[in-house]
Amino acid sequence: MDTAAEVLNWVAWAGVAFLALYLIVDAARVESTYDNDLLVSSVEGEIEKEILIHPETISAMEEEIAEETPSVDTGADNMKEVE
Amino acid sequence: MATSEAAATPQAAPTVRRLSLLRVLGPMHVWALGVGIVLVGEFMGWNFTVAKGGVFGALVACWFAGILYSCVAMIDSEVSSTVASAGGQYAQMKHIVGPLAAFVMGLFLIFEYCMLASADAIVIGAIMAELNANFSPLPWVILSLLFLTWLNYRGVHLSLTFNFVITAIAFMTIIILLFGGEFWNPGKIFQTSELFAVQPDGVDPKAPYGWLGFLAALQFGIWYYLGIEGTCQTAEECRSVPRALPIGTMSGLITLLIAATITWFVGTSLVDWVTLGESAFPLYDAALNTGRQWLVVILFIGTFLSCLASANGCINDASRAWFAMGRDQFVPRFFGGVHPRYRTPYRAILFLVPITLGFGYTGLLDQVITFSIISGLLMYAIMPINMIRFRRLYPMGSIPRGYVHPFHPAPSIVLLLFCIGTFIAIYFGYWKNLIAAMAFYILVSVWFIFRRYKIVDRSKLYTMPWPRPKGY
Repeated sequence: MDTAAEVLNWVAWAGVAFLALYLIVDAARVESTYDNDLLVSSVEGEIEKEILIHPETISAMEEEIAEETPSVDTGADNMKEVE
Repeated sequence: MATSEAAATPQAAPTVRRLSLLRVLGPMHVWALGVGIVLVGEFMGWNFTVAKGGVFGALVACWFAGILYSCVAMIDSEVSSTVASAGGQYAQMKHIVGPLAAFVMGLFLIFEYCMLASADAIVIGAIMAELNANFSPLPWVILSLLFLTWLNYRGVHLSLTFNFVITAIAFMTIIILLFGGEFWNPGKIFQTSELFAVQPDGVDPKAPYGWLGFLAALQFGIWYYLGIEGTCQTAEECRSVPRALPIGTMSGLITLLIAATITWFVGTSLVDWVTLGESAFPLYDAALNTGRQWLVVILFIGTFLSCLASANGCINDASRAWFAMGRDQFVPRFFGGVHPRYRTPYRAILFLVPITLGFGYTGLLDQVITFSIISGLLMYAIMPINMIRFRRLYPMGSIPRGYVHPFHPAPSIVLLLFCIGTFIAIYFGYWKNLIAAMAFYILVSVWFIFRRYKIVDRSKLYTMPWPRPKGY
């Protein structure tokens, strides 16, 4: 039997014991500290409302942007506001 | 069904303290979850397509399954970017089709991912034993599972960031094998022409069994992509669901299409079709055939990391599905618990550890993997119904969508047809498994209808703030 491999096998078992103990102790601490109603109080999420892109609306959006672009580029509107 | 009553159900009142999962994930994490689960299929499993259909049969299966999964990814991206809930396809079914479909879908997910995780862990043990015959597989199998459980327990951001790193490394090893084999210099290392040529005994490696072989290869073609649909499970934990889920899922699928095609080319150009069709670690064997030791080491690392990434993703997904079912009381409400500090579904994560280990040590690993694949395929077969019904109940503009897939209902119809084709292929090879799996799911459905659903608090099932569906 390869001694190094045998030692590493035991190291792996030690890792198993440590992780199992950590998980069990932490879960037990949570269970004893917090009320179950709080722990199971999660509800389903809610979708953000800001993004709504449909292929059919993309062309319309592009047309809108194209119409707005000249007035932004000329800077004429800004000048009027300053005046 | 989201009724008006459900829509009117108040969300968390300001005075009520609630625990929820953390919204910390971005597209990178979604990519890591999807590709991480799947990439192991490039390192093992896909090569059985070669045994069934020859090298061209394997390529047909690769791209056929690619179309199937493109439909899955498009459908999932649209519905999941709308149903922002843990449980993914389970939650979609609950809101769009109904409780029984949701329950069955939840079971499909849990069996698919738990069984896949157990197979991954067992392969990790086998890899360790391959490294040194004196390594005992058992402690390494349990250690890998417990380490990944610990990561998932400590937080989804930590576990999926880890998954991103190891998945990216595993993916790069496939690219390195392509370049390390000097693909631009055919005949030097890659022996494509020689390996594809008709053999002296008259057998043509390209299609040894003709079109029937192509059909038979389909059952293993899904190995190239099996699990990409798991990205939906993160829906409740994404910072921006409409952005992260479609980008993460689609970029993941593109990555897998590239990886699958490279894997096919590298595998079939370095290993003869008979050896390749029986190999346990095809890419590793391909690296061995290059005669370059550094490539062998790199592919060994890639194989190991892909197993680890897959098991990690599977633990994440199975626990979210079980958590979501617990939250709806489809299984005991206890499993809907959230860790107050790490904000993870810690009870679901811990509960599934012994079950995953148990699957692995039934001694029936091939049966476990087959059951996992059949569960996944049953899930894909229901998805087109879900998608068509979703568009019918909630037409465009009725609810916010993060992504809208094009050409509806073509992807749904294509997916359904491809699923039927793959079921026929599975029936040829594993008809007993297919019938046993379907009988199992019918039995648990009967149990759900006559026992479990009677104690479900139906007033709390639907909390999405959606309008009344069309026609109701």
